[in-house]
Amino acid sequence: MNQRVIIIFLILTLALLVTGILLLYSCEKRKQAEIREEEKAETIQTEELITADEEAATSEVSVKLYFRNPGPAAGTVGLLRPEARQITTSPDKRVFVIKILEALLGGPRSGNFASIPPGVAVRQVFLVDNLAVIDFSREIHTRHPGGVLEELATIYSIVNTIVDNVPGVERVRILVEGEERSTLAGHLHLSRNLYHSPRYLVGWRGPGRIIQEENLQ
Amino acid sequence: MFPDRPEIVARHRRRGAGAYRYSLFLLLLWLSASLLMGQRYPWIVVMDPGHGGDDYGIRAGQGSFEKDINLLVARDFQHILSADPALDVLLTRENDRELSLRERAIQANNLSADLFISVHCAFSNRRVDRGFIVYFFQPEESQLSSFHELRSTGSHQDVRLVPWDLAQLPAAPASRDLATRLQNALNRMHGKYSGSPVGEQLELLSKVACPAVLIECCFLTNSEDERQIMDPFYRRRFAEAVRDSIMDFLTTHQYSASGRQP
Ligand SMILES: [Zn+2]
Repeated sequence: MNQRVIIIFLILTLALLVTGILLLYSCEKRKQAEIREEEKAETIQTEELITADEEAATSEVSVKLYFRNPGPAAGTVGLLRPEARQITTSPDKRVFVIKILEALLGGPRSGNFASIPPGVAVRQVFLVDNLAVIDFSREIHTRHPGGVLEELATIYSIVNTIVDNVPGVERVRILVEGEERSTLAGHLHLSRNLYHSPRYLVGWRGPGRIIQEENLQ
Repeated sequence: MFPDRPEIVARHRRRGAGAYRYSLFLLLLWLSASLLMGQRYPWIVVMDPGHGGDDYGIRAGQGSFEKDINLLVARDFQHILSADPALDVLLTRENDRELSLRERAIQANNLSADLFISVHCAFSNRRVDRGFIVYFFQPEESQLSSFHELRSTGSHQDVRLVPWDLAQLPAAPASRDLATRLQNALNRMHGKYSGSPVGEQLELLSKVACPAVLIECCFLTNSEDERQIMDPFYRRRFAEAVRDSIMDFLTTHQYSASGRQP
């Protein structure tokens, strides 16, 4: 008697378990299918965008790259000068960031000085909410000429260029060979979130940043 | 063997207590003597020659390295400033060795320095740039708010108990004033420069718990500046201008991180 009850009970629970698992599995399958369909729809959409308009595939946007200003500067004011550049767009924001950085690393074209040492490569770019984490190769540290001014120019040419041109990005974090460094060339605090700063730009009239109005020879 | 040990310890202790009392007596004697003579205690000034070892800093056009010039200038500062009995000048490094920014700040803080000057040189892509730049630490909003938070919680009323990264904050206004005085004195010495100091997020200064500045004393990318800084007479004038503004600053502020009063 007791044994029979136990067996029936066991069979019932087994049956319940199996149906539960089956239900869950089918649910999951349906969900995945839905996601796949959505993705397909999206890719179709983007594909449509690209194929429908051949120019859209190679469509270019004008971006503002900040380089080292070769003209007279008053200390840290006027360190950076913008240069317009045409860059092919990408639906992937991360790819767009890399394209902009590559243009910046490629150097200036209209008489400005480079703001980043030669031979530097972008290793990785991560986008987390409004933060762009950019990992550079070691050359950004080992080949840096040194001095606070050039350190500022390197850091803020990167930060200002990215924040100015990539919608949604408000902060930048710079890594070297995958790791945080306390400084780039021995002076400025690097292991923090860096924000766009207009005070190094040509023509900045804001408060308290002007030093030597020299070089009047 | 063992029975002797407690005695030795006791004797040591007694001797230690004696030395302690003796040094206290000496300190009191010195205190009263200096009070009577109207003399100040020596202020501790820490000079920090930037870079060193494998960290060359800037490589100048004429083949010199920033690390060597920084040491040269800091040694001259030490020489000129030490001549004043009110100043006790120490260097963070006396030779060509690598030293982390943290180690430099630790040295200054452990010595309870009253003043800290990091000596560097400037680099500019524009070869015509000349002169010098005096930097002080400019706190960010987030740092200011976390500092005020710390201060408002009763257990941290003592500003000397702030974390490393906030160590400079209590001294930040004084640092700014020191930077202005130095810049003005150097402008006067040169005659043709008229700049004001620059506030930036300087990693080293942020960790130093006393008025602190970083001076880039010449542009190593300018051949005239490079020649000038190698001239001992020029360096002497530079050091004298620095000494005068430091004395000015210390006497007006009577600032003392270590609690000493002039
Ligand atoms: Zn330096």
